[in-house]
Amino acid sequence: MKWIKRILIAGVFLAIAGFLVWKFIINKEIDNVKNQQPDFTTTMSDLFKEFSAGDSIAKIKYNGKLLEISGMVKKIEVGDSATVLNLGDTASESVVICQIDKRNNELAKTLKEKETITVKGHFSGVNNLGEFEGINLGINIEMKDCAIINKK
Amino acid sequence: MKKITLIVFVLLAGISFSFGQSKYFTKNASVSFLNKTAVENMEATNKAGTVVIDGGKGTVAFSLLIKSFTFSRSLMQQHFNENYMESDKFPKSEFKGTITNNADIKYTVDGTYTAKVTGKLTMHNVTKDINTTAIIKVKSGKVSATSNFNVTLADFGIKTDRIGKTAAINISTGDLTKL
Repeated sequence: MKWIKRILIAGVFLAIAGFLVWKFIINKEIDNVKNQQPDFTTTMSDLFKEFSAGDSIAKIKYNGKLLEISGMVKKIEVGDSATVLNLGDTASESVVICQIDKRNNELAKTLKEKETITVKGHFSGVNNLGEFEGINLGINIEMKDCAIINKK
Repeated sequence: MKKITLIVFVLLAGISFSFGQSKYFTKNASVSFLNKTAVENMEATNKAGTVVIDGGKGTVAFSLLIKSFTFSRSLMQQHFNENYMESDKFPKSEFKGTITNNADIKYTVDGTYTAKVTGKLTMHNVTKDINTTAIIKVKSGKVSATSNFNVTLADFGIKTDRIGKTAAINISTGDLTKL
């Protein structure tokens, strides 16, 4: 009878361990950055300068980091589940593209073009398009899992 | 009088022709994929795709960063970037192609047009020929496009030992900016 008891206890432990692995590793959601401390705080203009000066150095510096950026909304595409917005100015086609986390979508949906905002998100890379199909499209500095921190 | 009429006609024809030659672009095209497996589906969306359509030449191109695909679960995102797409080594995917029936598409006339697209898709540092169709919609002067196609992952050197062999790709540009 003792061995049955042992098997049952082991089974319960395995079930609990399996549940914990599923819940906290396999099924773990992407972290919501809203209340996280950023690795870098900067402005859209400073980022453009930094990437124009040394694309590869800046890429290494920001790779996978959490950035908090202030800038002007150049374009916004509101979606029910997730919004995407571009920070930029009229001087060039270069933009910072922020894909808003759907959990932080409500405030993003209220934004208007030309508003100055602060947004936080994970840096996912830079797409240096330059002269693309005969149009100077500048650079895309790309962020995802974003949250709006404030707007003016 | 006849001369003036002819000049006006030529000018109007020229203006009309130049409208048809416009370029259209967006930096917020939505590109999503779905990879089906018996256990679970791998799916993600990237709303930072750059798409350019040249209405005059009948060319189409897109460029996107692999790491900009957004996932809801962090382990799936990690596996996608590290084990399958190797996005640190191969950060971009690009497509360059032509619309073979471009003459049938009236970029200034409201309507829904089926574009036959042929070109080269680069992904995971492998370039392959792709033939597909795109639906181009023109409504109140706004041009948008959508396209759906499947890719066989092994063709692009992507491991498929623990995932589905194909991925269904969906591209939706939203309203394009006219240049």
